[in-house]
Amino acid sequence: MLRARFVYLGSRFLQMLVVLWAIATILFLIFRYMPGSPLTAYIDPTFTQEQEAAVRKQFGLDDPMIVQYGIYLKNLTQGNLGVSFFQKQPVWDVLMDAAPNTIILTSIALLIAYIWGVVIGSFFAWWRGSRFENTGILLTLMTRAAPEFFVGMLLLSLFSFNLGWFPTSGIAGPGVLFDSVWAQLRSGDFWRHMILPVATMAIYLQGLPTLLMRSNMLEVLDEDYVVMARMKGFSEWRIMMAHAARNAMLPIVTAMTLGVGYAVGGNVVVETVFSWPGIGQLLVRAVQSHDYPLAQGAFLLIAVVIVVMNFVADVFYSILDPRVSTTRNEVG
Amino acid sequence: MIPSTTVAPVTEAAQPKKHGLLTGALAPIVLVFKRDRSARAGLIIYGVMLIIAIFAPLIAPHNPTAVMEVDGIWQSNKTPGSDYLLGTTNIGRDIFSQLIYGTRPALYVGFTAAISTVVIGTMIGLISGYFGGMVDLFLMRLTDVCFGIPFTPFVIVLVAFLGPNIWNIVLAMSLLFWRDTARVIRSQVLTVRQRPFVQAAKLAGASDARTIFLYVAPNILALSFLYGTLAIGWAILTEASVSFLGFGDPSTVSWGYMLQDAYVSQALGRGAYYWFIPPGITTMLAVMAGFFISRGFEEMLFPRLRGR
Amino acid sequence: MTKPLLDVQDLHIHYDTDNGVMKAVEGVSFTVGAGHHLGLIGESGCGKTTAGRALMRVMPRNASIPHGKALFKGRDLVQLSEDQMRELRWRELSMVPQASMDSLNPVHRVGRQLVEVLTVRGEFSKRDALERASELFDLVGLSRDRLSHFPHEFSGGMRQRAVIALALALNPDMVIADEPVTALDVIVQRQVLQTFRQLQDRLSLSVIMITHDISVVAETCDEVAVMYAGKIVEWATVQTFFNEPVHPYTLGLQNAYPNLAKPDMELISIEGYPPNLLNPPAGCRFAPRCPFSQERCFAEEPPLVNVGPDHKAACHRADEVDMLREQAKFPATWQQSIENG
Repeated sequence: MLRARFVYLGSRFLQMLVVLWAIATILFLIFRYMPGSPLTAYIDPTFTQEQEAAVRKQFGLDDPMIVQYGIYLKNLTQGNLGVSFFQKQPVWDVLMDAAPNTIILTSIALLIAYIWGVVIGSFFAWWRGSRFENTGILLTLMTRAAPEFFVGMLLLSLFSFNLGWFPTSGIAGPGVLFDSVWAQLRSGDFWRHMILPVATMAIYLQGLPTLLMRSNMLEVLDEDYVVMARMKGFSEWRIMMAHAARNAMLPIVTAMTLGVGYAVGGNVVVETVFSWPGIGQLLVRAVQSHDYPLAQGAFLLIAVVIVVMNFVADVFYSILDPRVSTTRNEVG
Repeated sequence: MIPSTTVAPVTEAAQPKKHGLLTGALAPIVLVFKRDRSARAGLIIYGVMLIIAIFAPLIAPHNPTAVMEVDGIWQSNKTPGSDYLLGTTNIGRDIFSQLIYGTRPALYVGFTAAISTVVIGTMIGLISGYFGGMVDLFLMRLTDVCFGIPFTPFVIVLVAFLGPNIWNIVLAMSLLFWRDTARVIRSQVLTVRQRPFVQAAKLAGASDARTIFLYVAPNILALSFLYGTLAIGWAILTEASVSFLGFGDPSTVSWGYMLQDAYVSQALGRGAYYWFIPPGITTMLAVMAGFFISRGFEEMLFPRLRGR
Repeated sequence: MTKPLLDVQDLHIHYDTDNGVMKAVEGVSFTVGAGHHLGLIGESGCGKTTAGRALMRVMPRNASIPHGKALFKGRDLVQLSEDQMRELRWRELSMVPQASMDSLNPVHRVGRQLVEVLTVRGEFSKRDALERASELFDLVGLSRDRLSHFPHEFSGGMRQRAVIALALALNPDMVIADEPVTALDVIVQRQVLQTFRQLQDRLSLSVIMITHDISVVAETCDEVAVMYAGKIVEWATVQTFFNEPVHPYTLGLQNAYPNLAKPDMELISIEGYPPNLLNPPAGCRFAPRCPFSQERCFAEEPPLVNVGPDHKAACHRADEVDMLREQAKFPATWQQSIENG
């Protein structure tokens, strides 16, 4: 039984590597063809032709594509993402500075969204057809239909500009610099700044788990084993928790791991609205300024997170659902 | 976005259809609208949007990009009143007119993206599921790659590369949106392919193309439409995000553009609700209409027995 | 006769559907004595599963019991509150549902599902529950080390037996078994039926065996009730049922099954379909398909009356049964029934 699972996951892992390679290659091609000379940051308009050629040589921009590609791949496997044109630092360092902000924001928002979704979705299914459910569904659809940044704008306008409860942007007051991630987490100011962005993301993200949980619960509640549980005389509470919810939740777990991927890609927008210095904001600024190593690095990082999380979702699912990836051994 | 791993197995909504693509297959789609109230509501919303879009020049009092001047003075930041129904922007453009004209890009983007999603996704899903083997392997890895690429960042990068033009935005979306559809269609094709009536057709000598078009496709069309209608919403939201981030088409006044304009001009700080709330609401309505229609398809494909 | 364990009187069950009210069960009455096995026979859609689920009071959302009583150990199951029903479910009355394969929760191990019922609804400690679970497995002929397996690792027949073990866990007074062997192959069918017989002998359990297969009834039951279109059309002991059937539908049923004693006998099926229960016909519900129906049958519903000791039937022509029984043996008789309709 275990062997089958290993084989299955092993092949999924290899597929993951192939996908990562393909994405890296696509990125390489896209960014090499981006308009706007990559050198503008380094080249002073007063450089002579020779000096320009020298700089080109230094960055390897003279070599044929294939060679550049080879160097690119080699660098990637070593974790070398190049040097940012504008920040003059290794891309990796720039990204790692910004990463904690994105990670904290995204994880908290996801956690809140999914817990909320599982609970509310179950209630919707349980009280199916009630007014509570009907208005609830409508509201949930509205949160999925409204652009994330619009919700952010609404929250900002109401709570920041109007009521003044929360700051309008950034992760801390002006001029504040944190020594480390721990210092950041311990700062009340940081949390105050985080509330609106987290709320905005959570509002948008909860739509999926809510609808999914409701949908799964409705299916599960019709399943024979739930009818059986009722016949056994179990209390409604036990039926819902131990039998229905447990089974309905399987897809939620995978959805959540996949959700990480979507959230990380999507919070580009939220980070912009709140000027939150995370990877998403870095990406946007890098693209705008044609800082292509940085843009490429940020993009790649996001893609890697998504692909890895897709794989993790496969792992979770195979563990949680004993029917998946085990061989059936039917006897007599 | 619906993670594909959670699509429930499709029950046979009706007898396996063996009619030609147009007659037999479209009938259940029409039926969805007849039966489902929310699907009709969605259709009506789009109908209204379409009419507004077509007759925009007649409905909108002013040109959306024109700066309003009265006696040489720019009419900036006017609050809603009899002259300008929703007030003006910070450089004096009429917000109401912008809102009206905004239906056009929303519809273009929504529907072209939906169509390309349906067409590309269905074709890939069909071919992959039907032919199997190396073709399937290749196409599915391609799909995996698309799943690994984050939406919004990709569209931004591509648009920065190709130029901020609404058609480039649609192109960028078309390159990625088909992924969910392809997976689901393929999965459904795999099921249908095993069914006796398909195997019988092949035994009787039907060519692959014929088998696909006459036998397999009609059974998956409703599923394609489901994803197509969902794609309308995704597309409108993505265009709005892209415009908001500043990569939108500067010559087109879309609702996303309006929101960006408002944000960048500190409309929030000035409490200019009349500027940023209307386009947000219209966007939300447009996306919801797509959701409503897709719910109709969903009910048809995965019927929930009423009180079992 | 001592007071029966279960006394169902004039039970009506309705379903509220999009197309109207479906009268699935109309005025059904039967009794089951302590330690007796009653076979409830009928074709699919006749209401037998509905009746079974109604006794457990676990029915689809749109079902209701507008009229009737179901006296179980003196208490009317129809009138009990949900809490009271929940108390007695499984402890006194349990069910082996149709298509039991799916009645086991796929993500819990089978042993765990047994233990759960024993600890939560019985007064067992965890350890005692495990012991009891093992005994139950022995009882139904399943190997003890299968307790730690998941349902999908069992074959269909094994799952069926596991559900039977579950149904017996708390030593109920009565078990309602709905098509317990229908989805199984013949050999496994035999094993399961044998298990039932053994249980009947060892545990003095009362059973309502719901099935469409009269050979199952022959194996395990003491009494038989035949249902058609939501009504009981005949009630008899099993010997009487096979030797002296009265109702034309029963006569037809017997013809449709192969008989080892008469291997050359031609099988005759009953043409036609049961009536639409949204708008049931006025007279006898079997009349359209009955080869012996007369005008009276279409106009007036025949009541279920005694036609012999421990034998009831609902047929206007019950007194002519000898002649009808003779005629029923010929295929030609049944051909005519279509024209009659």
